[in-house]
Amino acid sequence: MDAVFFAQLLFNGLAIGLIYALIAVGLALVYGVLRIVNFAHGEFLMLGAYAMALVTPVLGLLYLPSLAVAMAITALLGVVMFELLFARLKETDFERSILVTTGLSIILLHGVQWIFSASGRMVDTEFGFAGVEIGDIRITATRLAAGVVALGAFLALWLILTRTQFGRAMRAISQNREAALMVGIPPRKVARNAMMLACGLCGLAGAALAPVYLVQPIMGQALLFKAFALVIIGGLGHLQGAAIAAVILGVVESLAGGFLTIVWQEAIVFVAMILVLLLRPQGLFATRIRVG
Amino acid sequence: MGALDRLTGPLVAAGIAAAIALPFWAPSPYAVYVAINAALFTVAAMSLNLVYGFAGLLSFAQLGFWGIGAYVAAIGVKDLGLPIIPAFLLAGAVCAVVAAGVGHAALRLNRHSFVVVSIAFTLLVLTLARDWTEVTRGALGIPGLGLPRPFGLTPPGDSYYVALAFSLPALGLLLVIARSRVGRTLLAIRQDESLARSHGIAPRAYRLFAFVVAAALTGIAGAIFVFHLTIVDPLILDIYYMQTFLIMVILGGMGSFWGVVVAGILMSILPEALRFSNDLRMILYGLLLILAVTFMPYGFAGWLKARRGEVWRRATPATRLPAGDA
Amino acid sequence: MSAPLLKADGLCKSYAGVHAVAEVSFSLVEGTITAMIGPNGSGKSTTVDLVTGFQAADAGMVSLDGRALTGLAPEQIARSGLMRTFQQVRVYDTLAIEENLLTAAQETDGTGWLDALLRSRRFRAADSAARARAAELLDLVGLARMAQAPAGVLSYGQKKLVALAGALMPRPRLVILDEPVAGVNPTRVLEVEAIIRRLHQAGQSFLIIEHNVDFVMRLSQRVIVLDQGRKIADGTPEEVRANEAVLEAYLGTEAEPADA
Ligand SMILES: Nc1ncnc2c1ncn2[C@@H]1O[C@H](COP(=O)(O)OP(=O)(O)OP(=O)(O)O)[C@@H](O)[C@H]1O
Ligand SMILES: [Mg+2]
Repeated sequence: MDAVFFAQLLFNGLAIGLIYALIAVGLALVYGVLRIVNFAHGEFLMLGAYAMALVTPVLGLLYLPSLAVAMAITALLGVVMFELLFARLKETDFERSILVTTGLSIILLHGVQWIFSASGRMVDTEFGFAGVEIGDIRITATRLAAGVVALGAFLALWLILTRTQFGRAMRAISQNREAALMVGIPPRKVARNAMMLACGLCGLAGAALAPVYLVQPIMGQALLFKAFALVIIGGLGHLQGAAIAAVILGVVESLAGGFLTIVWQEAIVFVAMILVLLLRPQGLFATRIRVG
Repeated sequence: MGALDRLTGPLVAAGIAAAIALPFWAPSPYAVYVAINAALFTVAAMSLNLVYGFAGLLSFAQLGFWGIGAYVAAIGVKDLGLPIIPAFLLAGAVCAVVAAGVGHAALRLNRHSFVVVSIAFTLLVLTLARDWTEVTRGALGIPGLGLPRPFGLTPPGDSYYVALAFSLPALGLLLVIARSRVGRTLLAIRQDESLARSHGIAPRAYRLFAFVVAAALTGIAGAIFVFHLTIVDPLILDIYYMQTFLIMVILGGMGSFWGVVVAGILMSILPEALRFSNDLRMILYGLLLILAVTFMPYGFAGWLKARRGEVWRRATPATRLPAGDA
Repeated sequence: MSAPLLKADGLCKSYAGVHAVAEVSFSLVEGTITAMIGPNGSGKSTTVDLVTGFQAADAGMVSLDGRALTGLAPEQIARSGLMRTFQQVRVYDTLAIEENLLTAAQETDGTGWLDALLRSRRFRAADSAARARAAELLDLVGLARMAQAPAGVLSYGQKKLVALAGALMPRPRLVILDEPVAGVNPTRVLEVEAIIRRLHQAGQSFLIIEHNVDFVMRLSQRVIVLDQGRKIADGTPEEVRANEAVLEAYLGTEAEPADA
């Protein structure tokens, strides 16, 4: 096996795995705090990518500022959606929450498709198609940037969850709702923050993916199902589990893509999920948000 | 009881007569084409209603069965050389057996886990459709399917009668179940599982029954649908179908038979009649879904029923216990 | 003395170290009304759940007519002739009141699913018998005129009566009522009392969980008292009234000093 080729696949896989992790972690966070399986989560990724596509030319192709604006937009949208739709749902309305988020997903997806058409678009940034050379390995700058941005986002998330009042409140609610309410943690505010954070992370992932992938209305849906699988593998509501599973998946997919037929690359995650479901269905719902 | 109840019989008879005569009064072949979709989608929506509206299981596995039925029938005809009717029956049988296995395991889980497992199941079916190329031919799909043409009518007249010959008996079967004690028991379980158990009812057996019947009917509907399309490929597992069935159930009214039948037919026809683009139609569906779930959780039929409940509430003020006047 | 109708032996249940029910044993005689009383949180509802299979006991045995119920599912226990109601009133809101009652008796009427789907002769016979029984019970609880109304429209007290009638539908060997008159106003308590008395005269056996001490003392032949998960007294109403432990544990916390 060619070591350089292998290392290149590994790097690519890590970058994509980190992006997967951002999506999966948001999904797990919303489940942990709101007890909602957010079927519209993938659409926030797509919105982040479209925001990036629209903002970059305006900001003169500058990468980081565009990314920040895209993230802010999706985070804000998350808050709006929370206030409009999610805040009305009760904790016992599990099926209803799925229906509402399904409806939201349909509207966002087809709304964007209606406005921008179903065809894909490429997003250009200041990096263009430049590559970075690390020894003999060559990796495109946008991919490297995506990986670095995702790593930074994780660091920030970890700090938020462990060091800030509002992060600790989220963990408290997801761990023991009754107790958290008893000590006066306002559930609505925490839920709103969780949605903001989750949608912001997901939008960031979409924005970082935009220069790497084709930007299309359906891009979120394909990744969402992968994220579902990852969250199941990691244990629903278990942030670390989802993140680790995501990074591993990115790497495995990338390596498999290098050595196996393309089709099986996509199947890996679902096969893994089925195995997890078969082997430890009881571990499916570790409902706590664990970060340490 | 109400005027609507007395009218149901004649209305249904008129509806069936109109449906049977449809190819002769439809304005265009396209209208017949839409009617085929309506017939098959209504069965799929009603099956979902049996599982979700009656048994209380939000099952995304319905989409998986829709796809399994489609593939089994196509493979049965193309690769196994089966005649078309046995291939459809095989599709139903395979779905029933798979549903029995999946349901047996998944119905032990709690509500949350059940939903997720049903999604996982459908994703696995999708993966197989895409990647098990030796059998499913992957993304290319299996082309060259077609429904028989016994009457030699203008297309798609014959296909319409094939669809109808399945849909009417299937809906009849679902109506019998819905109106029977089994249907009532499913509603009881959905509303209060503990109370049902205290009455000696084993919820899992009833739910498994609903799950299996719904899977078989949805599988056959999916099979006829792809033979009508003439090709089966992984797009048959597009989440779009599941969303459509769900919206029909929610708007028609969970746990209501006629509500969902009417919603199934109207929602197949209306967007075509209004000539909406697909995107606009889906946006509208999404809005309706959210509005219905938020403001009318039991759909149109549920709203009607609630109004009847109001009549009783007014007739007997709840503050007085009518024990004394017996 | 005849064999007991229900026998509970050494029932235990704890939640994270809290002994909700500890070593509770009792037996009930056929044809009697037995009451179980005790302060809030003394383990009464938990005991009912253990006896009827809604929760698994950590230890202990239960038998009905000498047949072990331990380890059976709630629905199996219900079918073997032990019916219960819930402290939090439960009815099927969208089903008509008559349907609520029919649903409560359907699993033991000797007909199967196929009978029900095909409306066989056997099914029709069982169905009309069940409807007659439902009419009789609705008459007894005074809801006959409402038979076709959805149960959701009823008041709290009326729902309790529907739940009571439901539990009686299959002519069970024993009915356990968890707080049948909690939250029901005093005049209606008397009506419920009359209903239970009528049923008892017809031979029905009851175990009644209640906080309303006057109500159970008037109705029952025997009173069991729980406190902090333990049985502290078991005897005739008079014996229990005179029992010091009961005065201290129960009346002492609940009512004003009983020596007035
Ligand atoms: N699911 C549970 N988890 C933890 N503790 C419980 C649970 N159910 C009951 N308990 C505890 O067990 C004890 C007994 O509760 P139980 O409901 O049996 O009392 P009770 O006598 O019926 O009270 P009440 O008169 O208020 O109905 C209480 O201390 C209660 O807090
Ligand atoms: Mg209690």
